[in-house]
Amino acid sequence: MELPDQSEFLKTIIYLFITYYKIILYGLGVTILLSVVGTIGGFVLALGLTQQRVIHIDKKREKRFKRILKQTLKSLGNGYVTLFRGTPMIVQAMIIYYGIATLDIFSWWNPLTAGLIIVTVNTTAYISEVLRGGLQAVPIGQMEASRSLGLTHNQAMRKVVWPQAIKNSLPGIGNEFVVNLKDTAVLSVISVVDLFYAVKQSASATYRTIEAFVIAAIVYLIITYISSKFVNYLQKRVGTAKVVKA
Amino acid sequence: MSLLSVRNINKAYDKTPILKNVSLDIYKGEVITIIGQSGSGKTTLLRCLNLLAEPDDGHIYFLNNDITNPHTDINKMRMQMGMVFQSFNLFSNLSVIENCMLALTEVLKMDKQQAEERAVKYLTKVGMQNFIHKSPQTLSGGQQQRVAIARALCMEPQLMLFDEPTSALDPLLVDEVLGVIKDLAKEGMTMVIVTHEMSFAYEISNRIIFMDEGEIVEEGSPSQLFKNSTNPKTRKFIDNFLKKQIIL
Repeated sequence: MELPDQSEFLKTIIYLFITYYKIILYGLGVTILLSVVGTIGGFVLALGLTQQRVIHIDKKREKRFKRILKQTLKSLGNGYVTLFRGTPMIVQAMIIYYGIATLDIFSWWNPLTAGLIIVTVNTTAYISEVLRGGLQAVPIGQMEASRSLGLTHNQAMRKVVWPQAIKNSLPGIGNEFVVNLKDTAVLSVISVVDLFYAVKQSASATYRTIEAFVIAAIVYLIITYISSKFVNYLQKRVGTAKVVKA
Repeated sequence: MSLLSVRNINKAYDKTPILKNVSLDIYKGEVITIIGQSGSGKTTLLRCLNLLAEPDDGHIYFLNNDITNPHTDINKMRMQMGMVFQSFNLFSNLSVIENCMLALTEVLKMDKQQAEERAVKYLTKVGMQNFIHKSPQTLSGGQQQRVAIARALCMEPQLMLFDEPTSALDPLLVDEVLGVIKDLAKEGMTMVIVTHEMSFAYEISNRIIFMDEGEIVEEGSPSQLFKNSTNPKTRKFIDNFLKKQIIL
């Protein structure tokens, strides 16, 4: 098949897709991989990070050393979130990827590995904020009732407060996944062959930039639409979706 | 020997004094109600008894342990003091029976079967045995509060604290909860109850404590407070209540 004429918009799109579908689908796979790993990895790490940020300090009963240690951990956790939410992921990607590449100590260091790590550490910060909000939404009475029964603070957190906080956070975490599907496009800056990068290659090979990126837009729209629907479905299943009936 | 004694506690929130030099003794088998206006410090006093609120100074002794001492294991003390809250505070991530079993397995380290048996025993006592697998949110306020009472009873505590247990309830649901509390009183459970239900207080108490502006103004038998009090503050509070009764 020949490259259609400039004026043939639809035909060009079809041509580009047929000719480059392998790399586009590969890029799509990488985009999904980045988002899935980033969101799941980010969630697991955010659990630890958030627990560290909300750590309970008992001024009266804990030794001074322990209190200072806890306060330090708390500040470090807050600093982490400020740093990663306060800088664009594209900048984080440049610093982390080239920083470690320059050190030349990891032979396995490549754009995809770097991309997976970058999206994970970035998502960790965002999900930690979602979880913190989820924790704050748990009524104080839940902790008081637990403590009145003799549970320790940690037992109460583990058995009562965290399960409710995670449930509260599910909509926000689902949203992070959808955001990641789109925002991982910036990782093309370190040559991660994601959907954006794949389409860019087909565009520069044919000089049909608009048509190529219309394909990208359509594919992004389809996957974000499907995942939004899936996230909504999951929320209904666990009962966090509040359906207002008139 | 008193089960619990409070010695000269003070408590302030943001420099506003809530409790002023309060002392109190609670003996085994007593049913004590604390009455007084909103803001008189009665809820804060109750919350100090199991250290959900920490007094600024003074001491509280429970089973001969000074619970205000930072070295006392407060969780061991709380195990033996049940508390029932105004807003029920059932664990919304757990079913009715799991609410009752949680502290049994986590704190008392009972095995699951034992815990289940005990939970069913106390849920039956409060008439909630047919709801054990329900989620708390699906229950009425009165049912939730009965589950909350069962949850506290499961620990087989020496003392039960009730913080306005019927204040958040629909008037029609108040009696089912008060009925459960009256049954406990008959069985000799030691209880401290903060309440606005005056006729209930009159009927159930061995001793009524009247608080005003962070102080215990007067304490005595129900008839002493309701009929023979000479304290002007107490008189005013009681008269106000009795007037309402006449209007009705």
